[in-house]
Amino acid sequence: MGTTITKEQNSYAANAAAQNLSARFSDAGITVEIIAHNAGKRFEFVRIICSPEQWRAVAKHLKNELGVNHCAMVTGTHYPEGGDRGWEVAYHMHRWPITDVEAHTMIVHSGESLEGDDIPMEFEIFINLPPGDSPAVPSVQDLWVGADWNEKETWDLVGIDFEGHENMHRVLNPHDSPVGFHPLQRQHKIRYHDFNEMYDDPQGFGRKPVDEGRVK
Amino acid sequence: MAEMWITMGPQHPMTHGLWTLRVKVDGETVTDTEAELGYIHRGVEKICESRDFTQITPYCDRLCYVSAMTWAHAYIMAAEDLLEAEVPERAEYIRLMAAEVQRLASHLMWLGAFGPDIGNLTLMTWCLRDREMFLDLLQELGGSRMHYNYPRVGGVKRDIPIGWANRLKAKVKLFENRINE
Amino acid sequence: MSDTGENYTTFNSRTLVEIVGDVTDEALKATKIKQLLSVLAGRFFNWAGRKSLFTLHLGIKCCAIEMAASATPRFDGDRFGVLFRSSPRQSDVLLVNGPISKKFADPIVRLWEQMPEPKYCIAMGECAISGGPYYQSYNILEGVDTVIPVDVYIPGCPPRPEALIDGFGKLREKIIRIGGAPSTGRDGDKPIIVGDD
Repeated sequence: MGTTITKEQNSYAANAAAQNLSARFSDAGITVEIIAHNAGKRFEFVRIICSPEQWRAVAKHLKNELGVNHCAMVTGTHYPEGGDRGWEVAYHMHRWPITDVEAHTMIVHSGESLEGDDIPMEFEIFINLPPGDSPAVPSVQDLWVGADWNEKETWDLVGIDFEGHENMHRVLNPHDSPVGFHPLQRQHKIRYHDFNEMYDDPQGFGRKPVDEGRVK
Repeated sequence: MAEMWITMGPQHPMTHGLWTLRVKVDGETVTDTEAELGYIHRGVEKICESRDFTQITPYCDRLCYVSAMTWAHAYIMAAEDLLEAEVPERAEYIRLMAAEVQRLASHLMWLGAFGPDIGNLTLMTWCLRDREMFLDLLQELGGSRMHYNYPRVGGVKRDIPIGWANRLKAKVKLFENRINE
Repeated sequence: MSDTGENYTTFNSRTLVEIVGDVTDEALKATKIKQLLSVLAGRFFNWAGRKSLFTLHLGIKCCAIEMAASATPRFDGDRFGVLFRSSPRQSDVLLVNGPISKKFADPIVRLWEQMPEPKYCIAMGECAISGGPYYQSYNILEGVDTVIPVDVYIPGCPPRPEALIDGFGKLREKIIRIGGAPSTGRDGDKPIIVGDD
């Protein structure tokens, strides 16, 4: 009578969700994988890689069919080396099935008795964007509450435009930051960046002794 | 009755941490709010891009300073996930105990900060006094009262000191009696 | 004495106070009592000011938890007269607890300017001294002394509550030296670093 789910339930749910997604979207070129964590309980989660055009459809399917109700994190990464992946937007979502617990009732749901779509599941969605100066992704602000401020933060720090996001404003940087200043892009360096030797060799093993070369 | 916006600005004794909450009040009823964050945005993510993965652990303590051990644990678990590192069982138990003691300290801090909000200053002094007990335990593990730098990839920094478990049991027993107060 | 067009002098209480004040001032100066009184009053206000340092209730980051811990029964700060006030208009000491971001630089200067003289600033913790572990960040100022004149620096990350109380003790010693000197003229005064002896 525990409050956690078993590994069998977890892999069953992961497989079910992956099959559902593949059946629906496989012709649109979306990759669905099941990855297992390497630490902790080693649970599995579903990783979806899609393109920005398909993102709204996938998001609606996740919310309506698979019951994903928690958008936990939205981040972005900038890869300046180019190739085919210049920017990457990552969404972390969860499906928490138990949402109707009354406060202060201390009702403990048994984890093992959940089945089917009621098993909590973790979803990770990567959206790869081509290199360029204006990465843009459709916003999912109207689908999940958790996406609202996270998208603001991602735009503020990384510079990814979320199309259709209402009331976008700077949330962590000062409001009078220069337009186009998005600190987490790789061309911005941190202060004292030129202390390279300190950071490439923190223990100082590459240093030569001060009196090297002197005749002793 | 006119509605007006009141700014509970960054420096305010009741808003724990620095943020501005602009509330639109109609008499005494709050009808709308606007929040403004970012007064302590430290840019840790950018700094951590130039650090080794072992050098990031002290930054994670400072992400949530009220419960430092928990957040360092979270980062270390993520690092172990990426590095595919095995953790010995004893280290997992030590991490669990440290996280639970830290949870006690953190919840006491919350309760101690909640007391003055409702006007009960005694609650603050009592909770913080009891928090000191658990902070002493964590100090024996990590060296400092708040930023321990204790969990490491693949385990913890060092084993628990002699008699730590006994002290923990005694303090928890003492605390159980105090909770009823 | 009288303006043109008026045929009576206005002799109101304000003029009376001024005249009496001037006369008394001259008399006191002559007998050197004024000097004695000002020395005594200065010493008294100095003692009063340093024995009850009202600190602004400003908690920025981790050092704020140690500031709160120093007000708890174990490291009682109240026995030294350190009381936390909510309004900057009623406080003597601005205790800067954490890193100052660019967004917060303006409010903290405003807080400092709202505090009435004599006022002192204590930089607590590494972040307030020099930016601390975030000195490389794009958003954090390198120390609060870039915007505010600081009197006492308390190193530590976070400094123990005993160190904070020691910092207040060093501030008291400094107040004995400089008294109620306005804070703008204190830039050249050597700040005290706790632990420097």
